Amino acid sequence: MTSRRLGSCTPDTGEASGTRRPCVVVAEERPERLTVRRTRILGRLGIAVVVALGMSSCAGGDDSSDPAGQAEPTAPDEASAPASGNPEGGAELSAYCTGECAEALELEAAAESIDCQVAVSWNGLDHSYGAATADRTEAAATAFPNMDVSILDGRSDATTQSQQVEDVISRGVDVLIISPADADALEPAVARARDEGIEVITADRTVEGDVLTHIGSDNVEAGQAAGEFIAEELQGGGAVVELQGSAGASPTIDRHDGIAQALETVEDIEVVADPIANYSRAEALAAMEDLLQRFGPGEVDAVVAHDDEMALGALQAIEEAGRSDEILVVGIDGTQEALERIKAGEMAATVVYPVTAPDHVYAAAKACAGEELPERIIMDSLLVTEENVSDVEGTTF
Amino acid sequence: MQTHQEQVLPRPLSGRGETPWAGFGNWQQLALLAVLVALLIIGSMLSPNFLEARNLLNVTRQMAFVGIVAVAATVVILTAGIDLSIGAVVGLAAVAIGQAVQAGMDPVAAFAFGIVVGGAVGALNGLAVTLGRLPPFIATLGALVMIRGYALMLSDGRTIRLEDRAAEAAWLGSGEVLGMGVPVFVFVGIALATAAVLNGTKYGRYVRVIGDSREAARAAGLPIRRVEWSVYVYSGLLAGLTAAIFVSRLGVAEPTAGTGLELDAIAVVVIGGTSLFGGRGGVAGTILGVAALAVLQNILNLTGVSPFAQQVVQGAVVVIAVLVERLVNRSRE
Repeated sequence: MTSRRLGSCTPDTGEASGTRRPCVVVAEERPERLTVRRTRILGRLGIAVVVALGMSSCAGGDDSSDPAGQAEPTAPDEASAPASGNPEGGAELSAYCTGECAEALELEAAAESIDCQVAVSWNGLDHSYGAATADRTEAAATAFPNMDVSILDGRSDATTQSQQVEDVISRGVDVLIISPADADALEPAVARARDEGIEVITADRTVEGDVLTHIGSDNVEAGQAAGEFIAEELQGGGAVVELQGSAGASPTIDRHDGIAQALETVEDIEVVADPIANYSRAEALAAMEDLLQRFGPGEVDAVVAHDDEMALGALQAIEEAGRSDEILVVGIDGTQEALERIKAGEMAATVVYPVTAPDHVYAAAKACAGEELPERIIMDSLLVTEENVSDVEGTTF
Repeated sequence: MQTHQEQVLPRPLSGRGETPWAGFGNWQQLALLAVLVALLIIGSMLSPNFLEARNLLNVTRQMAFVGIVAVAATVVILTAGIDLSIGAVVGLAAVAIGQAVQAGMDPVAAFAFGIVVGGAVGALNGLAVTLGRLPPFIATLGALVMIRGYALMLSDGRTIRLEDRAAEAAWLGSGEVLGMGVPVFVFVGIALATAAVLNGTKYGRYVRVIGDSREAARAAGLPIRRVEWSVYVYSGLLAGLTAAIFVSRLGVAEPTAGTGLELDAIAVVVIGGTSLFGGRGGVAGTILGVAALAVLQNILNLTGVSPFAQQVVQGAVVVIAVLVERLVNRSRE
């Protein structure tokens, strides 16, 4: 296994929290196992570019220590460890890939036989969701000793990401896992990748046009789960504040729709305000401060936020106004901090929005082996309240 | 440009009759003050909660975040420069503070560390502009991207939690004195001090002259580079301070803190009547601009205007403010 991260890596300074990832650039000399199906010259050029990019973006990073050397011997250990999800050994599927999802990803070939190059182009690694995705993708790749996985940060910019996909094409990979910054803007780049014979898998977010498969949970479903919880809690009706994410973004639209669908089922529930807080805790705090002025005690019964960061901002405003007892706060995502606040009884609920890693790595492995995959692999959205919070800790991001 | 060069230049160079309040009281600022008063009256009529103590606490505190950065932006823009990296510096300084606290540093020391980090970045920006002779727009645009990237790299893109140190650190962002938030006092203090320096010292006059006419400044033998460098350092220091307040207020350090803050700050500076071409304007206008925009936003929130319409209104305010400035100046000439 070799893994490489471009555009976002942490110099190996050894500080802080175990969440840092060393900056790994391995690639000066590609060994023979490089099974290149496309023109070698283009591939070499691509590698040169990629290495240069990797170097420049990891200035100060420790790029000489090759973890492949250490990772190879550990792979058999992991394979011999009890693995429930995947009989071939290696890491397991996530807890949010059960039932049909787990069946769809069951690998028939042996893990060692998966010999191919996978590029993961993520829309942005600058959020804990992206960071967790990168971590678990790298961890999952260790289950496949002959799979080469590189992770690219699209920096939430469609142009940057398109360029990266072009680079991936000229480098000549076998599988591209992509979470597009924009469904339409990435379509041409994805189409070119497909034309070059690269198997394209979309993860978390979809792209226009045909792909081999899409893996991810459904934002409408996540919104519904949050809305249903509120609908159930407010059976007699009530006033709800909805804190929206970035306007126009597809998760915002889908989560909003899901919440609306669920709240419609109870007649006397009314959404009294739906400000945009851009998935930012600071903006949600300010918006909620104003809303608590607009609506006096007893005039707001619940807050549902499109993500946990905003839910935590709203919770802070509510606590400062001394109105925690009368307002339920529900988020979406299942961040560590949200889970802790639920456990402490301060936040009512959240809906886990599962990270698609490690599962998308298994999808890539199946694609490498030429095994069949369904069109859509849907992961579970799980409602977390005080009752089941202990079960999900450590499985989110 | 030539026309007001002649008007303005003799005054600042004369050095007579300058008071710390010399920036106050021009036509445009009076108009802005009238708008602010009108907004306050409209607000109190539209919403019974508007004048409530809690609401005023909220509005002034929300004001302080943009305000501190806007004061720095005013000084930079007065030299005909611009600092687009402020928001990103807030993010980097926030990460620095978060990691320092995590590593066991006392929160107050960590805040100071964050301010130093901000100042250091500002010093580099200043060098790029003065020694490197890069146009400020380009230098700080590059810095914006690099610094945000560095903040994300350091933090791994994750929010850093202060955990049990959060309560200890909360006084700066969440503390209250006499019913007002601590950040408000910080903002007012910085605004007054900056206005005093700009209007009452030789340095302040240099800032305006350099922005108004570089040739005149050169002819007068002013230390152009040193003054220019110093305004970017100041900008960085205040971005670091804003980061400290952000971290303290939220109890977490977000690497994305301050995203877009530079644009809010520049908008407020422009509304306050400071010319983007340098030389004209001052902190007084910026304070009024910050207040007007914050009150407007608060009224829109209190009356439940849809979030999309709010953006339209806020954008329109910026354009109208500049339009008014143009018309006023044209009629004067």
